[in-house]
Amino acid sequence: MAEKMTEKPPTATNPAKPPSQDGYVRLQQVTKTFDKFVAVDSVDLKIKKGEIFGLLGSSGCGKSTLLHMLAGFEEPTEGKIFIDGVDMTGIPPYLRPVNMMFQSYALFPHMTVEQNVAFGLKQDKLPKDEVSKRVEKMLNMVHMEAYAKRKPHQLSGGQRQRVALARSLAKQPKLLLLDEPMGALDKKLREQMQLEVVSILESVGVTCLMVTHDQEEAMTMTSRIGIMHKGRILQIGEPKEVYETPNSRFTAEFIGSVNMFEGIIVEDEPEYVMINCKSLENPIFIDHGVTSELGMQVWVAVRPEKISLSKEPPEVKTNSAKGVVKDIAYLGSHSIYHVGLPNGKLVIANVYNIDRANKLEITWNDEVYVSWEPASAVVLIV
Amino acid sequence: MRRQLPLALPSGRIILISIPFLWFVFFLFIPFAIVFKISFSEIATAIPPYTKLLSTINDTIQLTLSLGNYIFLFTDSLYATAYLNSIKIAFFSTLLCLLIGYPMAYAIARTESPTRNLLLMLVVLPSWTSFLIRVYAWIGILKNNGLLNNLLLSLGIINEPLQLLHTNFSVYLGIVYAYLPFMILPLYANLVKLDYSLLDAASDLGARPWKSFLTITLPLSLAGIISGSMLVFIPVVGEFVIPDLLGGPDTLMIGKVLWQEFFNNRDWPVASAVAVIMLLLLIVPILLFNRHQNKQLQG
Repeated sequence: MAEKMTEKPPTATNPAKPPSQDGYVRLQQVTKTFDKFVAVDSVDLKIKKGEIFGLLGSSGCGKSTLLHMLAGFEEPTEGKIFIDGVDMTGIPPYLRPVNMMFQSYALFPHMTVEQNVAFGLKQDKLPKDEVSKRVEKMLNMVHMEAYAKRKPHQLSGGQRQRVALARSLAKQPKLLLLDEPMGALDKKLREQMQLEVVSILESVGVTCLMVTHDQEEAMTMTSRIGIMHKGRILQIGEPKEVYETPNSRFTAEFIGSVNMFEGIIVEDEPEYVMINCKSLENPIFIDHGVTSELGMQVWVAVRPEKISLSKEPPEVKTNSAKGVVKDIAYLGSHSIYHVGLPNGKLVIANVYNIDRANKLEITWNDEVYVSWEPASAVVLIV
Repeated sequence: MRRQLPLALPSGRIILISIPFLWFVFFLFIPFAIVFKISFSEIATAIPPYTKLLSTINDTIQLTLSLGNYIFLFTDSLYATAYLNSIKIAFFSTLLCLLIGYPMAYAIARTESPTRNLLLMLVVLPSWTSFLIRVYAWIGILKNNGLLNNLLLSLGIINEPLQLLHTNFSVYLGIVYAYLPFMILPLYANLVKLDYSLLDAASDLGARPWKSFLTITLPLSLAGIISGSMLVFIPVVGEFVIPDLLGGPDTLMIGKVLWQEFFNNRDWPVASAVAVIMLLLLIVPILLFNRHQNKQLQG
């Protein structure tokens, strides 16, 4: 505590280091423990200036705690947070260049839309006409100028979100935090708002950290995502990268659905690998080398949309299996087939309905072959 | 057929509503009507000690309304002083209760459940013993050779006993002590519902803790402040026991005057007039309170 007191708070006379592109917001070995529970476990993270970064994880993974530490509601037990080069240690939330859009929006119920948006600006003791100019600009940006005099309870969910966004952007924060931004909206509105919020954020050019448990939301709205589990960030990358080349079973299973085959490497060559799986009759062929050794236990992940179904046996024996259609879920754009293999393993395959019309109709209890391209599978070691 | 049945039998809803309604009629409206009636009669040596409003003279029924009691209340400055003094004491003790009760209610609302229940019980616990006994206990503490004076004397802080009892100080002390729970409970009920993410939001937007309190917590707990203040202010205006037991000869409160008129002077008509005026005075804050509540409901 005494140490903290002696540290100088960042001021104009204590200028920040030159902004580095990839570390505008930088988390350095940030750990947070509550009693003995480790909520956030030595997280390192760099967010670029102007980027929308998404932290994706199930509830209790520590993503909210991380968000609260950035906002200043919680102090890290260990590690440091830098925003634009300034160490945030010991700086209370009301002095941080960070604003947050709360999951519940946390709009002040006794204030009008206008007063809500003006609240942060008034705290900075800005002159009155400057405040009203900024409020007007913000409300125009979110198309809420007609509702300036309304109270929050007179607004719909989507309108409240716009106000919350305007309020959190009004102070032009260096970092905007979005806590489950679409969590309080219904599905239809969510899809519309996702794109609208992103276009607003991009037009403002604010650096953004968003936490969500909704992968679709994370993938639509962000430029990079981090998968968080049990207080650690398991993988960071562009949504496509994380989806196509997950680095662990957890990530593969967390993002989208996946067919996972457990097996042992039986042929290990620089340009290909063969894997024998208990659940599959035929071996899996991977058309590239894997940093592994013979006899090593691995997992092979294949996305359902990469699996094709046919009534004829495929020409190549590898990467295929024979099974029976157990279940079909018709989802409009595509159908999900559950194919039971003789040993009981279920393989999930997505069939796009554009194909289905041309093909022989595959239906319940049909015998089918599932197969996939060698490049479609991902070998996972952990 | 099914629609006619509810007409024949009183529905549960009507029974439920009629209970507080009948309570109001029998224990408030009728007694007040009686008091109101007596206030227009004149004192008489009879049982009951006042003249009848209706009398039969020469086979005609005559209604005699005397406004003399009300005129008397306005001519004798004792009553005006007593009313004003009661309102003054009620106002300041409400303020004191609010200043003491608000932090307590806030602290209770922000503690976690097991401790919170214990704290709430400690607030209510004193009411489990008789109100009279608790006020009497203060006499034992405050009197010249009472606990407090003896303690201060033995510690050498004072050389001779302080006159604590039978002063305005002891009246305020007794009132604040007795009515504090009535302030804390509605405030607590209000503050416990406060969405604390609003305070986080205020802090996030740059408001220092004190500013957050003034701009968010305080306005949002206004309903609790008003109902707590009403629950203290209204009964304190008519308070009789505390000024009688703890107050001095110069503690003039309308409750005490009322008692003296009824039981010492046996002037029921004047006493009734005093009571009617007191009620009229209290109607003003009650109406204000109601208006605020309606506004809250309408949002």
